[in-house]
Amino acid sequence: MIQEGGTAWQRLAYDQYFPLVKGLIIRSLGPMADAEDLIADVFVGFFESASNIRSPTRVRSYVVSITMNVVRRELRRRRRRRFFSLVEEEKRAVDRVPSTDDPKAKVALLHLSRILSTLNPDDHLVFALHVLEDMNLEDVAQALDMSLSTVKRRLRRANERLLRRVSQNPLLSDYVRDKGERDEALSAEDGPLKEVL
Amino acid sequence: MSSEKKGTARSLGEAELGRGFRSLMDDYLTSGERVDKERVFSQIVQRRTGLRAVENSPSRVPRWVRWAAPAAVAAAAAFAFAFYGLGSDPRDLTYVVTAHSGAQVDDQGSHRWSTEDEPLLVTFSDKSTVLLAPKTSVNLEVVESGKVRFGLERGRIHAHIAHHEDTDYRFRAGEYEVFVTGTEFDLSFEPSQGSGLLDMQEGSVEVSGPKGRLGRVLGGEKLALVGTPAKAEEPALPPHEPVKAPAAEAGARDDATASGAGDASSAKVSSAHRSVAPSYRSLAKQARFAEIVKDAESRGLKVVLATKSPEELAELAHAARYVGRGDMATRVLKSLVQSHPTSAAAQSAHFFLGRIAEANGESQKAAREYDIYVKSRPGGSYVAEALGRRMALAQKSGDLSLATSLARQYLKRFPSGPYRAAALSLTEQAEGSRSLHR
Repeated sequence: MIQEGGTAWQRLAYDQYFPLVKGLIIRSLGPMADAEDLIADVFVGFFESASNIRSPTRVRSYVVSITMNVVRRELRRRRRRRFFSLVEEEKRAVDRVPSTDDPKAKVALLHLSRILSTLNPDDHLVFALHVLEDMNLEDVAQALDMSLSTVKRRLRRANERLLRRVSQNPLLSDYVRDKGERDEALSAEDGPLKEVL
Repeated sequence: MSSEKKGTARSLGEAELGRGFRSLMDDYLTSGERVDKERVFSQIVQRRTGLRAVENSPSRVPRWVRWAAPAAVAAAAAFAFAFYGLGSDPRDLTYVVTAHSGAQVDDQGSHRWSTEDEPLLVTFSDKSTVLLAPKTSVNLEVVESGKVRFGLERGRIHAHIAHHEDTDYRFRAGEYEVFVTGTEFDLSFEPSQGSGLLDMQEGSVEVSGPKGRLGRVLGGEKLALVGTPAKAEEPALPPHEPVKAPAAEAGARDDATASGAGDASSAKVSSAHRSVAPSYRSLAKQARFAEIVKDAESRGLKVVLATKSPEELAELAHAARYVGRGDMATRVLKSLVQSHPTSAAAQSAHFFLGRIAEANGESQKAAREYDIYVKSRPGGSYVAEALGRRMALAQKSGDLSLATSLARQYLKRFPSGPYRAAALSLTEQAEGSRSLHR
């Protein structure tokens, strides 16, 4: 459909991949992401270059790859900006995260995202795709144009650093563990219900 | 892997960290719609309509342009196409003005346009666009074939002018006039101060001021336009201040530099000026480039190079370039590189040495300087420009393999940068030739 030209496919593609792109961007960049602008960047890039895709099975990985390029660029931009405006960012960050029902969750998510953003951008992306987006390592390697062994190395490094940083904050550490366990228990309870529904 | 920390009953493991983080993130994603899907789609469609200003580097294009331009441009493009068609003679310039909503706006024959809270977009038949920011007033006239005259009375505009040899765009802001060939820039003007700012994003313009030609301003550079406040604002001056004070000072300066003689009062003023010795930076902010160069010459360039800070030397180099003293600019930039190699000014100096070399037709030298700059300042302000120019030089020299590799690098780093089209064309060319050989 893409190769046939026209613009009708663009809306279809947008509807199909919007959740994926949105999830990737927010999971990778955290709650402070200027998500709308970045999602638009991804789709503008995708629509302009989609005619290069030779096989329908490659569309999804192509979208993921463009998204990761946009995320990588944004991470680098943030690093440069953070160098100059660290104090200001710190002050405003809590206010910029939209409210959730649980204020502890808000603070915890902010802390985690901040710790994540201190990682090397490539380590950050590997962690976001594999751990937060639940992609398998082969897909991560393909999306980030890395070898499997590089992905494994980066993931190991990201995990080590994150654990070290998170463990330095006992409250955060406990909250993260409890949150994971609570949700796992909830999803176990939901399982049979979902099947019935 | 995980370490036991004080205060935690159990250590946190990789799996727990991942599960907890994922769960928090999922809650965040599902706890309310923070991204308006339809608004984003509308933004995408409008951006693809074709205003390059919107597609340029986000850090370089002002936020008001990014948000304001797309909505108007779609309608403007439709109007432009419907009324003028494509491929018409660029000298037969016509234009349409559209509001943010996309509705066409009529000036009732006044040639004046003012915005309050919403921007306006002027689209010319040669595809040039000028976006008027909120609270901006301009008068606009297409004088005769291919000639456009913009008078910025107040506020701010963002101009993207298509390059055509037969068109002649000029923008006046107070006492300054900007002569455009093909370029993109912001121009602002505040009549109560009589001053403004020219912020070049791409290409180059010639600027003239109240005392004649000021010189060329290039992509990535800014020029403060300092002028006389509008008469209506003059009462704001302290009542005891002699109204002619600025003119007297200027006269005294001229006397001091031209003949060194004058009456007692002017000599006193000039001596006061000498003792204050304004920095090159402050002179540059007032666009007094010729004075900077004169000062360096009167003190002796060697003395200046040995005593001034790297930042001051960088101002001197820019001033020398603006007044057409490429020789002095080169000398100062080289001295910066040699004497202050670790300073930011010295690293940027390589970029400007490249520009000067390129302007002198010394492509290899220019390429070398751009390479050094990109390596030494990978996050520098001029990297996109340096990489783009380096790519163009490689292409010009016939080294297509290097040009293609640089194009790929460029697209990876600046996917919507100003050299995007050239870079895409190179990569597509390479793809085409590869598939031909298969």
